[in-house]
Amino acid sequence: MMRPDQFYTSDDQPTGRSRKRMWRAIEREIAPHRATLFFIADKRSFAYGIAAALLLYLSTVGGITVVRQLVENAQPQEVRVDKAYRTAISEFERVVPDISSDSSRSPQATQELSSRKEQMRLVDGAINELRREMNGNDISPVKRERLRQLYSMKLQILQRMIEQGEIEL
Amino acid sequence: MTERETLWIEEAKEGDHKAFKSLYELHVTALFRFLKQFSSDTTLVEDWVQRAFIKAFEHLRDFRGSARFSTWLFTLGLNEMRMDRRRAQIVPMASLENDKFSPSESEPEQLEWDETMKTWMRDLDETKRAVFVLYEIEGYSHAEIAEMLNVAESTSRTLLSRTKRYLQERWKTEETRR
Repeated sequence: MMRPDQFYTSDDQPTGRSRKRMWRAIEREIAPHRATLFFIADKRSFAYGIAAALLLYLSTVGGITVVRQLVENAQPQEVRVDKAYRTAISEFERVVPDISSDSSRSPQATQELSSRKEQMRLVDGAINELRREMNGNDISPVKRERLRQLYSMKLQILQRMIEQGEIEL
Repeated sequence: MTERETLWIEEAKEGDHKAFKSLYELHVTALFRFLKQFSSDTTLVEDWVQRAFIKAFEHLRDFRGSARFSTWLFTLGLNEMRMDRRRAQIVPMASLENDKFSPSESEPEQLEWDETMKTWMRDLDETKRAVFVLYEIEGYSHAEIAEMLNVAESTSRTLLSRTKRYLQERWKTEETRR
């Protein structure tokens, strides 16, 4: 076996600068990729942000629902009944088709239709006026009775119009 | 492998750059001067060395310690060099078909080294050159060389024997000319 210094010349050896240069290049490659790390950290924080926003949104919606439910439950029974009537009528009006304006109707039928429309308009007006007077939760027994009558009247008119074919289902 | 080197390897496996730098300082000269035997272009040799160390760091967890760290590192360096040469088709890979060990071949005589022989070695293919340098100068065993070059141990012996014989014969020819 030969001694390395017998075989290798100084040209074969790396210089100090060469060794440093090589190490710098190696270090650059093996160093954790800062941009990637930043991107990963950024992505993670983005995901946390989204999750936090979602949680906040769901808690807010839940909170609002609970508060609304509590407020509704705290309302007097009369107000809740009134609300139920209004909701039922408006839902009904929303789903039934428009009042038929068939030109082949007899003059008497046309007159009856227009009279019922007028009745509806008057009942609606009376309901709105009474509700304005009641100003939210202030419902006296007389007003309450009157409101029920008006709602009942409106439903009867609607029922009559359906029976007469003035509202086609 | 020394205890200190084993410790550096373990620390480097955990991503410790300081420990890896210590490994670099320990082996860079030997790897560089060995690879320098395959190219006079210093920049190219630096590139092979860098790539070997980068690969070593990236695959350090695969290093089980059954061989010396330097054996593994030299294997990586040799692979980088061979890959480059294959890519550039500078020197076609030497076929080892004719280098199968023949038991009838006698063991080489003691070689009287002369600096001129180094120039003659450039005429040899890279595998023969690698075997000669690794065995005669770097002190690796045939088993280790066989692992590095991915050849049989007997092939490594045959290649060394033929290289020595070639150098001796050429020396004799040159002597008679003088």
